[in-house]
Amino acid sequence: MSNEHGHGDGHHEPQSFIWKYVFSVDHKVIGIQYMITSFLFLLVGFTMMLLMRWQLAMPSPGDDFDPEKLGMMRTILASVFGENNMPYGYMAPEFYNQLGAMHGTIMIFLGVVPLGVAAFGNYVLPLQIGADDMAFPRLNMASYWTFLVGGIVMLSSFLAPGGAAQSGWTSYAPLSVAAPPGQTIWLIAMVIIIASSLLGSVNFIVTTLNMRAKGMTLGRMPVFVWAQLVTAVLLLLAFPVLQAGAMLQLLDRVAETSFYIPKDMFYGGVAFPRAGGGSPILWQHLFWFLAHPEVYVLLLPAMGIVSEIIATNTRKPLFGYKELVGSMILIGALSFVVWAHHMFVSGMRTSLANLFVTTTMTISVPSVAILTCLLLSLRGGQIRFNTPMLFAVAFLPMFGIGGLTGLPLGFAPTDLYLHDTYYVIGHFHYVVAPGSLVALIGATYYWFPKMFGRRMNESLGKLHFWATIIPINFVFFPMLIQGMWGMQRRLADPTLQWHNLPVQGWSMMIGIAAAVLFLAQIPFFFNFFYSIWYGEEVGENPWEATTLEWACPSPPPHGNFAAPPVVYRGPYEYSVPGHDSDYWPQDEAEPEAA
Amino acid sequence: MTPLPEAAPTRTGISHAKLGTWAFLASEIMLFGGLISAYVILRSGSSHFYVPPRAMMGVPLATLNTFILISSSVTMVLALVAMHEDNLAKFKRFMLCTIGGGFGFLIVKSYEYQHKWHEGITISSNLFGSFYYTLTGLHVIHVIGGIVLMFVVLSQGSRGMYAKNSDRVECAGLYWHFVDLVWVILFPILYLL
Amino acid sequence: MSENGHDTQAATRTYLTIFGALGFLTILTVGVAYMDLPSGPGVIIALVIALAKVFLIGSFFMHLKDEGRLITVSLAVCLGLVMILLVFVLPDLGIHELEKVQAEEALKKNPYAQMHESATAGHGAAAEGGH
Repeated sequence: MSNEHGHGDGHHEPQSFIWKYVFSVDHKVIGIQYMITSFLFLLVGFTMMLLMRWQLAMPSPGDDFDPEKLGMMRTILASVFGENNMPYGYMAPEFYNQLGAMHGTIMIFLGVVPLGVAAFGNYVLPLQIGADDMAFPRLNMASYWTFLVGGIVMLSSFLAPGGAAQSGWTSYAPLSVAAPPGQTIWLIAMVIIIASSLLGSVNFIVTTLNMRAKGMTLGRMPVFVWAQLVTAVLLLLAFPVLQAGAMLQLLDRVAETSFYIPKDMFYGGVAFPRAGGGSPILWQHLFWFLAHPEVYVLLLPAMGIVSEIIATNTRKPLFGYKELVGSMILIGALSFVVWAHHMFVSGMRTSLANLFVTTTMTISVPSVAILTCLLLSLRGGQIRFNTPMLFAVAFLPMFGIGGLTGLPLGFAPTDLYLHDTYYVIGHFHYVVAPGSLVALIGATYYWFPKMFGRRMNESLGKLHFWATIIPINFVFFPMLIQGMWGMQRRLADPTLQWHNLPVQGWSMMIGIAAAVLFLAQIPFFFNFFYSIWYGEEVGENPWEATTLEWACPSPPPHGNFAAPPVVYRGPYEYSVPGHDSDYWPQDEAEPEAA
Repeated sequence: MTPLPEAAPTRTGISHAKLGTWAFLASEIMLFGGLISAYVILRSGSSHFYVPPRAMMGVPLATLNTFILISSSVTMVLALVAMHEDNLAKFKRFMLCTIGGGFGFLIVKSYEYQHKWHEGITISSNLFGSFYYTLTGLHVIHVIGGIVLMFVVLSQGSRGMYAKNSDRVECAGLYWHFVDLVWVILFPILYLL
Repeated sequence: MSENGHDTQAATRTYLTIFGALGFLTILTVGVAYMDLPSGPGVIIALVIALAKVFLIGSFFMHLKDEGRLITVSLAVCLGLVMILLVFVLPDLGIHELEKVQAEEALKKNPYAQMHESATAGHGAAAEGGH
């Protein structure tokens, strides 16, 4: 309950390096802290995925296995990860499960959400509404440091006896209750991360509602701000339910309660020492009550970003601003009533399943509306194909594939077949990786000049784009094919099951594509750090955009705007007939008023 | 100590602190809502949900605790009135009453916990015990947090920090009433039904 | 929001009245509980009284009756979401399990069903033995 007001204090320059860059309360520094931290976590999660893909590409030793003649890679892997985790360079199933659980958790809760919401939200949202900082700057700092602690605790669980959490990012009970201590650390880390996220979302909501500049009515807010507002509300209201669920699971593990433990449960051949009577399905309900809105938390900021980039680079107003914003709000509302479509295989009664099928089909309508609006925005525009625009345009078909492949999963009958296959993996990765993450990388290119006053190199950017977007499809599209063949997910060695064999060959291709994808990020990271110091210097509005973040210096000083900006018009006034330039910034006064 | 500046005008007309507190309380509603829903679902659904007889639950003590919390809510709101009247002595008196109520609640609760534990209602004895200690335990944590908050507000308030801006008293009050409110719901569903 | 002496006196009186009402409702709900009504009406009365207390605390102590729509509507949305959680999960876990228990009890009361049940159980055991 920090009551510090952005207006009241903090306008004098902080003195030392520590207070300026480490324990800063400036939303811009915190945004960059979040950005760099989440990029690091994304890299960690990606590395884990590479290890798993290595295993899946060549999962079993085969008949001619000779421990004396291991390849170089296998010798290295065996010595780095130890004989317990990777005997002879082949992954132990327990280690595979740990990597799987941690990959999911890190990518979602420590990678994409912090990048989309906390990093860009923190940096851009106050600028776009013309505020001088967040409503609660100290709470903002607390949110970052809580997040970092949560992330470190999460990673540290690999050091626990028995390794990290291995019950998947969904931590389904009762296996998760019986799992080794790593799961307890997972739960504690989640509680910390959720606390951080709550601090952040309170801040975002109050800032957006309370601190808009004069003239910045709700109807003039950029789509990105709307997306952040809806996202913050989702986080605020959905996360506490997981908090509740996680607390119950934590107590199940440490205090021997039995919220998720059924009566007379046997585990590993012996009676599980609990009173019993609980329901494992209850965990699924509490988990997915958060985790479905969470999907839209991953997605909405990306949609907002794509809207911004497309409007700027087509040089025309967005098609259907009101429809876009309305669809986002509708998605936010509906996302609370669709969660059980993740649970069709849990033995839910048909009438309830039908209800969730209906709501799920309904929520696809606003999603398609958003995609249609963005697609129609391209029509008749004078498109500038710079790097951010390439990523933004690529988001549309990628999210399209991700969304459309979700429809068979939203219908209970088809879901029963597809649920435990790679099809699900392919589907949600299309939404998150080639979808959200591509948009977020686009956002990095787009707002980089604002953050550092320099532009990222265009040639390297284009190289990065093509080297990313091609292999990423070779990673995820084959998964859809494997899944439709019935290849089961969550297996360290799919070749153990006969029915997986016909499509096992694709895994080699996926592995190679994933390695290429990893290499393709090198130009990006080089470009990022090189451009911070040596990039081409730019002025305050390099993209000739209209929204308020381009109306202050790059990078903006502490306090952002020299004078509080006044907003005169909607956010996307491009190519207005009769106006002398093809963009008309929100804060530019009418000629007669000037 | 210098008084806090007056709350700056905002777009919604609601101060940052108050709007933030309400947003925080909204998330708290979801937190307790999730837990209470879990309780209702398992209590109605589980075939092994044994509810102890009312005689074991210690209804009189819980009723006493309800009165203590309600009273401390009243003294809290009266402290806010005193702050609006700029009557610091009265403010201090009512804040101390509120804090005392919080401590009183904790004392009764700790006696209750001990008693129940000895009677065999423990956190792992059965589902009811688990829910009883989880729900009331989380509530007790909120009471403790509230007491800490009240001490801060008392010390800042009695040094004249809120002369121009009584937002913090109001926000601390909102939180305290919420804690009271949660108890008002927990009391019947845990003790009476 | 500074109140004058007269207003604060009125406010104090209101708060004390509400306090009285809350106390009365608490005694009422305890009293009703000791009447040991059948579970249906008992639950309903207890919940109605609890909601009345929540309403009193919310609208007077938390000043919701003077707040704008932004806060009240947001809180209503929150409560709606909790109800969604409850109402959508109950048919899956709550009532579902309850029906199963009731069905089992009904089976026990019905000798024919019991015969059928023991027959199927025997069948299952035989099948298991066959493996």
